[in-house]
Amino acid sequence: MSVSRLASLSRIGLAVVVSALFCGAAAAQSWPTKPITIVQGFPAGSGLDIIARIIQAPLEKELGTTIVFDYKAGAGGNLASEIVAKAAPDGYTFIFGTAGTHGINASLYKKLSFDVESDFTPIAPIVDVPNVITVNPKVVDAKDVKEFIEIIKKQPGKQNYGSSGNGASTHLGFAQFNVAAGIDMVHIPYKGSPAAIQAMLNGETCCQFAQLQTVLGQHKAGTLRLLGMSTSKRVPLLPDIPTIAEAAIPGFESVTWYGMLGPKGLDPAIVSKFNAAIKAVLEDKEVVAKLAGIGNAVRYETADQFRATIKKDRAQWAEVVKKSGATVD
Amino acid sequence: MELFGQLAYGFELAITPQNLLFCFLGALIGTLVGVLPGLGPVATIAMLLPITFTLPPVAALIMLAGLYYGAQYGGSTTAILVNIPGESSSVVTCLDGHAMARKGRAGAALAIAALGSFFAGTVATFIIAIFSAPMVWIASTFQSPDYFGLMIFGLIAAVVLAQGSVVRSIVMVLVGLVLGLVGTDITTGQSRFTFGIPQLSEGISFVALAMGLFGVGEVISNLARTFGKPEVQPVTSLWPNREEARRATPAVLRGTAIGSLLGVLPGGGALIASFGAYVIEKKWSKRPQEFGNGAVEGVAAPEAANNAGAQTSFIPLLTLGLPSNAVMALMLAAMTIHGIVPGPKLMVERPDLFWAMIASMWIGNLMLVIINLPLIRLWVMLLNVPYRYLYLAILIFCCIGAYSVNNSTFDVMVMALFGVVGYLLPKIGCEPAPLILGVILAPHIEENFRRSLVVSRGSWWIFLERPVCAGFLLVSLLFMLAVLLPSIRKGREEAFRE
Repeated sequence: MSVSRLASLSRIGLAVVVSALFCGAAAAQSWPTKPITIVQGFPAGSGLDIIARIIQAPLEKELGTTIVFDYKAGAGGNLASEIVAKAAPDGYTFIFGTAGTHGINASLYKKLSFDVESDFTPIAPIVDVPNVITVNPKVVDAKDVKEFIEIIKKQPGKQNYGSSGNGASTHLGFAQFNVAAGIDMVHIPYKGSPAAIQAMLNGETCCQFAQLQTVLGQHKAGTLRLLGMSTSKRVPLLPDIPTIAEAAIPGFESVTWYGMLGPKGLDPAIVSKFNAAIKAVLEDKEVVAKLAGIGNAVRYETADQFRATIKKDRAQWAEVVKKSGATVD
Repeated sequence: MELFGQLAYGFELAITPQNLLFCFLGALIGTLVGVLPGLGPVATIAMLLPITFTLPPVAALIMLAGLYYGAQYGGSTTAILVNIPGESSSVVTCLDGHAMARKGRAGAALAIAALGSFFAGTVATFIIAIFSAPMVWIASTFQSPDYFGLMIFGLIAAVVLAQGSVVRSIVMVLVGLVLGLVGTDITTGQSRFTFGIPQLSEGISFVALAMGLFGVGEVISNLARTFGKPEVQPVTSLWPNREEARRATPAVLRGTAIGSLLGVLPGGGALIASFGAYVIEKKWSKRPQEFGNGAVEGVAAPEAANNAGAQTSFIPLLTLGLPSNAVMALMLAAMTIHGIVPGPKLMVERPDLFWAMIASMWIGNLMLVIINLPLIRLWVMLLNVPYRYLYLAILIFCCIGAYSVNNSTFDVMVMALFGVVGYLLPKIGCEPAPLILGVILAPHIEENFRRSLVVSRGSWWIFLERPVCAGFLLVSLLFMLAVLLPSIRKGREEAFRE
């Protein structure tokens, strides 16, 4: 092969590289040019899916493209995380993650094939989902968090609390509360929140941490009593219900967020464009009202702030998981 | 009476042109979804969900509900004609429905399935209207030990499902139990039998397994046997004869009762209802030997039960706000997105929604009968399509169906594997039906058993202290004796002869 031939080949090679780079930049400029797939780690109709469906149409309008939800339920959301962690960072595959999938799971599962921080590019959080201490008044007739703690303290190891699953935020949040309040209860995991709430209604368990939107109907009917919110501030939808922090345990907080992440190595231009679109959606009054109507608070952060949140929460949950002794293969 | 006033109010709302249209659309799509193997109501409702956001909530929910019970009608068609469950709840209809079709009674089987479903749907509509409150009481008093008792009863009944040897069917049930335990243990979080495959962490997909065993297995054995048409006798008449109608009627009544009861329980619904009805029918029949060979009761009872169960599974959702299966979870999501809070207050706060949905169920059932009966003639013609074309379409739809439940190619492989198993099992004299029941029941039995012991802090008395549980266990024991005693006696007689 002659020198000139080699030179021309390398020139072609250079041209290819340059044009690829240029195309990459141009692609980020014009992104999105085709439908975006957002993977969810839970089945259609889950609490996460409800939020996803509420923001879907406004987000599509903001981005000017179609959003397709891909449900890859399994292993506490890890199946979905694995798919997105290994997806090409082309700006068309994202995951609607949670404090569970990108916080709790990192320390709960013995081995994961991905890292919840380094294998993802955080885009923005979307909502804070409050947990609320819910009791069946027929089993434990407590009017507030203080009274609840007193009653349980008198009968250590007697009462059962339910959860929507081993290692779910409803389990670990309440385990955290038990430690903070110095009470001793037995944990009983159920398969999903409907089964757990049913068990609370029929008295098999006395109480549990529940995601607010799952117990609103029971609260309205008076069949279950809501004692305290896990958030740092009261929830606007139910202003009469105090936070756990103000009612009994100062500083107590256990919040789960839902947020958008992409695979690692995502073009910063795409990240900022997507983040801006989410910001615009979360400023939409109608969206805010819909989310607030089922007890969720909008949560916006920049991509960098969100990265810091994930790091901080991961460390906090690791502590809670360790204390609770929970683990999943 | 207040009830009639409320029902009349519901009908008034349900027969507005718009609601009628969406009821019809739901029923029609449901029929299609049911007929196409695998493509199930869960995937379809998930796909249709965004469309419903722009509709008024009553119309949206009427349509989605119609889709669910419409699928129960359609599912039996595929089961009867080509021995492939169009819907997971029509698995059991394959057993006798297809046997009837082979005897040239496909039209009769289809008509019985449609009319039985209609009757069950009508009764279930009134049950929802009248008995919602007491039915909720059943569901909300059942604790873990009671579920355990009920499931054990189901397991014992599974042995009765078998047509051949009791020993073989026990083995099949045990294999089913092991397969049903695959996945993450709910109490400890340990993985079992997953071999490090993350796709198995939630267990083996039931749809993939059932379609493999019945669907793909049937295709393989048909191709192996004839490489042409499966052996089907010419269709004699499209309608059930007097004898068939006489035998179907009481079976439909029993199926409706069982389906209505089992539908209310969490985790229940159409699937467990159809199996339950079949088992009871076989046990009560004076001609148990006919089951599996085209017994009319074996079509009538489960088809009535799955439709009744599909409808009464709305009761926990409408009265407690608690979904009992995946379809109901999607209905709950649809309500929540429309700003409706499902719960005990729904009936008071949104009587329009509650009563319009109930009234629309009856209207939807009527529409389904009208859609389905004339179609029988058309469906039966499907039997004349050369099998070498038909089986390709069947396999493609099975793949779509297996994939669409979890959007997982792994599940398609699972289906293929169980297809081979489904082909081989009859060769060694074993049947897939008890195996499938084992798969359904295993997670429930184990979960509730262990949860009961956690609640009782390890005391086994909990299973006898609760009357519901003790009752089921006692009946199970009697059932077992009834099955075992004759064979023991026979064994002794043979021993004496020697």
